[in-house]
Amino acid sequence: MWEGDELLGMYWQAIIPLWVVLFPIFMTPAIFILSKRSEKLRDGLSVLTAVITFFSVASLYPFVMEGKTIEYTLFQILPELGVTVRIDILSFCLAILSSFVWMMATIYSLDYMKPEHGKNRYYPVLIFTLGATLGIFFAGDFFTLYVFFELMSLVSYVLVIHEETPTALKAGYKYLIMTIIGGLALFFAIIATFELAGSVSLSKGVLVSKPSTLAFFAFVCYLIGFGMKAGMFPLHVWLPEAHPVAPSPASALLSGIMLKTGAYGMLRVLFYVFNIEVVQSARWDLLVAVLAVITILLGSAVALTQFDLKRRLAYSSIGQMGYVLLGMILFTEQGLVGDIFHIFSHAFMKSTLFLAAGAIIWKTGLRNINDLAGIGRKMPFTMGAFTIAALAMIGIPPLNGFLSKWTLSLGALEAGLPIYVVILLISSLLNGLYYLPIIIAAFFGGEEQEHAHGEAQHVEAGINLRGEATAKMVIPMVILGLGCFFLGLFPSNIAYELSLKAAVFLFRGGM
Amino acid sequence: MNLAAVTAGETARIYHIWPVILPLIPLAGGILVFALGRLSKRIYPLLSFLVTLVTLLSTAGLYPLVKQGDLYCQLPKFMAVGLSFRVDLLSFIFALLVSLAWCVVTLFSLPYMRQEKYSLTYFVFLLFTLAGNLGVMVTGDWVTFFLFFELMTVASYVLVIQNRTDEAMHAGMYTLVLGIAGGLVLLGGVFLLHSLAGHVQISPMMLALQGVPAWSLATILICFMVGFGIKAGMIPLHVWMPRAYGASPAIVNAFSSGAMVKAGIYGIIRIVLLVFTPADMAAKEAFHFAASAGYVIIWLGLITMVFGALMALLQNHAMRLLSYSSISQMGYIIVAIGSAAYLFGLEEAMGFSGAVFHAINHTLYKVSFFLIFAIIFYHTGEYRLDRLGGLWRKFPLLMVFFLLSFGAISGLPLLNGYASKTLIHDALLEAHHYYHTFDIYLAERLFVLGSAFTFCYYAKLFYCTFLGPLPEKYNVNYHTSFLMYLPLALLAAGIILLGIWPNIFIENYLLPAASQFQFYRGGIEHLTGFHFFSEAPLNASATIFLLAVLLALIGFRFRFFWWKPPANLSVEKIVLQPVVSFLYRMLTHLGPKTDNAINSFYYKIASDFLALCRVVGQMDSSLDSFYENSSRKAYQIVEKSRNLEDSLVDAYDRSSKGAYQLIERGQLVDESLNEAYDLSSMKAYRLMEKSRQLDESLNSAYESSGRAAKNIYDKTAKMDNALNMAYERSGKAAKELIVPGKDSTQTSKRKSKVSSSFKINPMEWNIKNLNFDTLLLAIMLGIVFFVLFFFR
Repeated sequence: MWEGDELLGMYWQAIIPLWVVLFPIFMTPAIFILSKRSEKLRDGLSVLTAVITFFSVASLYPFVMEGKTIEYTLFQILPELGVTVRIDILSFCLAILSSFVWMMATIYSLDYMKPEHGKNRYYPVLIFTLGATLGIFFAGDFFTLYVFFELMSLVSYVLVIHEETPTALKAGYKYLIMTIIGGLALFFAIIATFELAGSVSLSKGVLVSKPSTLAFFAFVCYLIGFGMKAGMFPLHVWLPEAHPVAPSPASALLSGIMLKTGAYGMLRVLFYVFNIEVVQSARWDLLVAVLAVITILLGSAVALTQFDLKRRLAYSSIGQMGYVLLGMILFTEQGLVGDIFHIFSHAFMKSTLFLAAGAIIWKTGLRNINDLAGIGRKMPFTMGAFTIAALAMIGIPPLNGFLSKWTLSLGALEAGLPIYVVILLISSLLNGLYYLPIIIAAFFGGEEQEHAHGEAQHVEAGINLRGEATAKMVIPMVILGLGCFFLGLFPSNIAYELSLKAAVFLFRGGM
Repeated sequence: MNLAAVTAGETARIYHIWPVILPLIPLAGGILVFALGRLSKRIYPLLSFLVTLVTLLSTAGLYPLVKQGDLYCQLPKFMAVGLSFRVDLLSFIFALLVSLAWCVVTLFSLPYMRQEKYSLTYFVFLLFTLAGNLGVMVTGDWVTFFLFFELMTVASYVLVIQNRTDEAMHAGMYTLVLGIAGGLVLLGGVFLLHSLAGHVQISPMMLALQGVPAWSLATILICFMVGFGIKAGMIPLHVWMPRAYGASPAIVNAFSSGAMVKAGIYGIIRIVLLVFTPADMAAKEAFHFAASAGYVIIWLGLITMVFGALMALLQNHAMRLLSYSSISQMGYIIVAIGSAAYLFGLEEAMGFSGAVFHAINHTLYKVSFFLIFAIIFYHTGEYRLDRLGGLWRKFPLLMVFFLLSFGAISGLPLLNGYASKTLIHDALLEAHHYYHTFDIYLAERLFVLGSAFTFCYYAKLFYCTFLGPLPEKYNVNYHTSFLMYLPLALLAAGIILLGIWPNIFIENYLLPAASQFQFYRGGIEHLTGFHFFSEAPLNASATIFLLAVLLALIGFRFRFFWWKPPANLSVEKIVLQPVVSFLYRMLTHLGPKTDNAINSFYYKIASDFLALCRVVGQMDSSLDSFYENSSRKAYQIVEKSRNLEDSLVDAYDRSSKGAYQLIERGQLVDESLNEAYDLSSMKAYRLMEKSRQLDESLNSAYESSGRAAKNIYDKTAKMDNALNMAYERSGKAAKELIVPGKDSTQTSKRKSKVSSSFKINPMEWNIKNLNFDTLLLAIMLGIVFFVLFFFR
């Protein structure tokens, strides 16, 4: 019933999701071909692609904030099974977050990857993965989602093994095996859903409204498939291997964004395949909750014992994804707000941390935490960003980590489960125990030795940029680090508003 | 003024942005100092002092406004949940106290920090910590409170590790982790409060919490008490204090003891005396919870007070002694808060005023103690009491300040400590007066004992520092900056003024602050014109001093104060360390173990699966080899059969050859036969010719003889007929006897022979013969051709 301009507007808005998915994918061969000609062109085009993708996604903002949803089918393979596109607030949340962090990581890559080999492979894969990841978020049914999910998982294998060391190859193999297992489980789950409901579309409301044995198996398989990606206990084993060996911008994306696809998938499963009543009446939420709690505690506890910086961060990611899994299973609106907001928070925090760790490794070659004493005085911006993000992880107000912890905890209390609050607080303390020593050693460690040399009685924590990484590396991580601050304190908190809207949207049935 | 008429509800609320600005001044100042610090080394200490001075003045400048009513300001969307600020009189008193302490100590730092390293870091984080500390006092809800509380915890860490020694780093880490842990427990309490009451405003909540089970309220209270107790050094949560104080410079401890610890006290006052009260005085039963909590808090305070004092007695390190002293003094304040809660609806104003007043007094004299020792350390580099002594000769002025503070802390009349101690003591007496229980009486006695101990350990500190022989190496001339004495003089002025005219302060500041709480108005009225220097409190003070002098004499005489308790005999070593290390070890062992277990489980599955695959592979290969074997066998069989076939073919060949030969031979035979036949036929022909000739001759003979014979024939024909008839008859008879067969044919042949011999027809007979032969030959030839044709 749209007339004139409005119709045209709708048309354009409908084309954007398709565009942002296909644009990076189509740019991949272009980048690959150009990389043979000139490195500069290749780098420029990669960044340009990421930037255009981000702004294309961002242009949906006014449309999505009106609470509108678009869904259409591109073509059908079987009746009720086809490739469909869908925009709603939840997919927008994840898409805008992903494309933003991707843009930052791509810019960061420019200098980080300079001394590395295989750049002609790295950039096309990076951009292709962006397209595939956005495809997951803009998929209108589980079949399309599955296709893009597998595409992303498999292509990002190339990012994991980029360094081609034996450790990287081993980790990559583990990643690949787990991915395939997860993919198979997911496939079974989707088939089972199709069998039960006759459709796997996201626009049909609740697909499976009665618990049955097959439905339970489907649920468990969804949990395996998406939980594997999200690093859920006991399927997390690939994560601490794969994330540290990848190049740091790729680790930032793996940990910051790609883990979230698992969480996104679980959200869709919990609110579109099943619904609160089904899951709660059958007590399936208990399964997820127990696994999430173990994930939180395990991730934090193991992170304490790791002394490789990136491995510690990877285990921290496991713990943080436990928050997200716990948040969605609370089934309160507040909890869901906290959950989606924590997806934002963790993406910002963890990508900052990984980028900062990457800058340290790039500049000094140090990976062991015990060697990092005094690094903060040499690289003040890098460690400054790291500190903000780490304090956000601990949940120090007014950073975004505090806000997500706050909303999650209130959600848990609303659900009448104060034990989860205790878990969150214990985990925060553990986060403190493994992040604080890094920060302290970086800024205040090793000073005695320096002064023992007698030079510079009054050397202060002044800014000395000689030890700092290049601007192209520092600026993205500082932006992300400041994001942790702005998205925590400031009143026009886009992430929080989006989370709020998305949570309300999901609670109203997600149509 | 009719105080009873004033209730909290009637307090005016004034919207004002200033409470927000207040903590932002030092925050911005810190950033400014950091930015300018790199430019010049001279400016930033002075700049820092100016920032603290501005903070102090702007805090003080709020007084006219605060007098009119609560200042409040809300930033609704900040931090998504909204921040709110509020300054009432109590907030104002504490904010002023904090900024005063900060300003004075920063002034002192100017000369002191000249010889210290890391002074820029020190000044920057000093301002950040001030922002946190001040922020805590001016917030209107617990979330904002927590925000500043954490800022203070994190920023003060940098002050604690000012020395950067290993000891300092460890102590700092210990403090930071405990601080964050305490903060998280506090946060847990805030969560609970929010979920039960629906909001986290720092305001009376008992009405909103009505119907909530007591254990939930107790959980909230415990969470808050743990969070604040860690900050305030409440036993058994005090463990960080001696460690941190022992490892950091005296000026940092002055901040900590003078101002930061008060944040914990302020929090306890707010949660116990405000949050757990109803907004309406009429709801008497809603006070029960606070009253029973108050009883517990009194005892917590007493334990803190007495144990802190006892531990202080045994210290050899001036900073550690002062840290235990601070713990002990916090015990006084907690006792006062507890008794105020215990006396809800009766005389709670007494305890409240005692607590707030004592907090102020403690800041005044404790900061001067720390500054005195900062000066001593500045010159001697020593905190250990056994290495100090006789310093009165070198620092006579310092000794005067020390004695003043000593008198104040041990409760000498006309000094400020006396007034607040009297209030707290009276609060305990009132409690005993109203409830008449033995335990409160005991509490009051313990309070006296604790006060006596306070005197004793300061006597020890004084003796060890200023009296006795002066160590040789300290016998030099010291020059102490005027700037170092100025803060001490200011503090001393405060001690004396508050000591001589306590009533002015109480009536003008404390009682209006108390009237903003839900306190019994009568109690507040009792305090107006309180007789501090009447007989009863002076008597109590005298008792304390007598007891104290007695104890001190005994202690000095028998050197009890120099007894070193075994290192393992402390709360930290006995309780906290094992528990914490157990938990830590459990987590750090259990976590990786689980992780490894899962990993190895997967590997086990994978390797089992691989083994299975190997078995299948072996099966596969054995199947393969079976197929191979069988195919080989089959091949062999095929080969054998081919051999067989070959031999068969051979045999066939041979047989066919044989047959051919046979045929050939047969042919030969045949040809010879043919020849023979030809020959024989020719012979036969000849024979036939001859026989024809013979025949012809015979014929003619016969013809001639025929005629003759015809006669005979005719005759014989007749006979024959007769014979025929006879034979026929006999034949009939024989036919009956003989079955048709050979015999009969033979018989018939014989008969035909007989007949042919009788009916001789040579022509007929020849042809007949010939035909039969040809037929035989043809058949034979045909067979031969057939055979030839076939096996060729």
